[in-house]
Amino acid sequence: MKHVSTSLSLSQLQKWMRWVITDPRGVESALLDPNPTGLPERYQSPQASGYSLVSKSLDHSVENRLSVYAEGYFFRLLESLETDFKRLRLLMGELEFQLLISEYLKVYPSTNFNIGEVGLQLPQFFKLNNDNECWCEAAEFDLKILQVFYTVDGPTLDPKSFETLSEEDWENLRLEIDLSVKLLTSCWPLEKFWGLDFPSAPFQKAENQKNYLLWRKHYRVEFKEMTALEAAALNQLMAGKSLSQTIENLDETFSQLSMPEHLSQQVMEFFGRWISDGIISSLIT
Amino acid sequence: MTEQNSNLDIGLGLRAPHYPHILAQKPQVSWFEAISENYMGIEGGGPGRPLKTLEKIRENYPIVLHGVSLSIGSTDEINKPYLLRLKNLFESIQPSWVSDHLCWTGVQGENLHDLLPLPYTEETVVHLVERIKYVQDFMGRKFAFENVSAYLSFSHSEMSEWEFLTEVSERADCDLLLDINNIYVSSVNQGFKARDFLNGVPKKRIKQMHLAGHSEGNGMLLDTHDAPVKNEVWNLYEEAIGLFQKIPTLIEWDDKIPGFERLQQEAQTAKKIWNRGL
Repeated sequence: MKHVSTSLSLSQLQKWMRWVITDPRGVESALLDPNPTGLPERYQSPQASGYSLVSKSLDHSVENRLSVYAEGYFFRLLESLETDFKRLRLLMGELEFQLLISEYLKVYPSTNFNIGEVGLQLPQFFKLNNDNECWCEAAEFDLKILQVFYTVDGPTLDPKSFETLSEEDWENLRLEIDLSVKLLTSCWPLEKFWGLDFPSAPFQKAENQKNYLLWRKHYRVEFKEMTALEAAALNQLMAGKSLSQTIENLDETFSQLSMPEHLSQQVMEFFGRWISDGIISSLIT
Repeated sequence: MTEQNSNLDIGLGLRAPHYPHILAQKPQVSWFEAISENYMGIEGGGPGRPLKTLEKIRENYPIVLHGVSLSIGSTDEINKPYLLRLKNLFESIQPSWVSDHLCWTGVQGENLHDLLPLPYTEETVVHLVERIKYVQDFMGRKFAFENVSAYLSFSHSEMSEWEFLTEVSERADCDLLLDINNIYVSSVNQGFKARDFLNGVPKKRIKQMHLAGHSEGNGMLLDTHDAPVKNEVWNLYEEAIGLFQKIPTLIEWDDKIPGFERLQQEAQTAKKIWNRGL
């Protein structure tokens, strides 16, 4: 073993390597101009440089060796974000998406051990920096799918719980909706986003919003378009209203569109479907 | 449940495209190694379907958990929320053993999602030993640490990589996961003899071995795990089996993932070599 004296600690070496590997200008530019003026702190080299500690060889310069890590850093994150934001990526195209991610990582570098979390601020960042409404909607939709996939497990409805319900219980019955359920409204065709059905011509924004439901069933993310009545019913139930209150409230809103008896019949049909789709996680009497 | 590693021979890296085949066909495989972080979910969320799938696979196979984010060599504080989530995963899966890498993955609160090299100095040894002891105490179990592929080395290193592994594993009382492909890749990139590496590591500390494919880029060998194991690596594995005997060995294939049968062919090749060990 040899003993080499160096004034650079392990901590200083790591800080320098982080800077040079993640500098968005690339290793060579960063090393040529380690303290650029007018650029954010991220571009400024730490005071102690580890350059002289990286071994060079006849075949490879220090820059070349560090670039292997720098390229790996960017493309690993890019690949992960392409997977998590596949709709946004398809709409933007490869090059524009790459430029977006390069800008995004300057502001939001990964701070979590799970690479799947690096994109959590992407829709918000995108909205601030881009005025393409359709792409913003796609970014939001991609993120919601990710959130639904990772929702914490809630209780699972026991079908036997219906057997013990008295008439009075039915009167006051409230439904606990699965934690994964997200109600969405959009003027953009989310059903096409969901199916990755992207035509060559840009999407047109509709005048009226449509209602959609995103949830997880058997650990798979599910999606469907729904009627305004079903969306209103779920909204009421998620706000803690009882089943009977929900039917009454809907009656007031939708009475011009549907006969009251038809309306309650429709809600009970939804109810049956919600049970089989795993949307209801428990009954509260 | 904790199996003795003497029961296990050639395992396969568990990857999502193969879940349906494994669950439906229950193919003959000695054991699977799963990447811990793939089953830990996102912060504030749950682990979701991946963990449920792993629990089902666990019903039929021994599982080893292999982490990529412990960042044992980082000079940041140890990430305790990460350790707690890892501990929950260990409790749920009851792995045969657990491992991570002898490297750092981030600093100053940022994660670079890469297995970054360390200088082989006394300062680094002391730093690692303290952290490994802490982690093993906290988790209540021994870890095996893997040698990483490196594309650079440090001029102030005071010892060879194998001397470094020996110092760390002896002082911290941890195991080693010997990645044969990484030894080969680093030996070419840094110009040392792979055989010296094998001869220099402490035999009694070796818990597991890894085999994987690599590729070439920027005039270097890159540990890409996207190809079959190369002949040079099979040859080195044969030498390793000659030296260390029947150490459980895993085939890793993480990118351009082929059908399950192709992985099994790699396992069969490894098994033929493995059988020659005493």
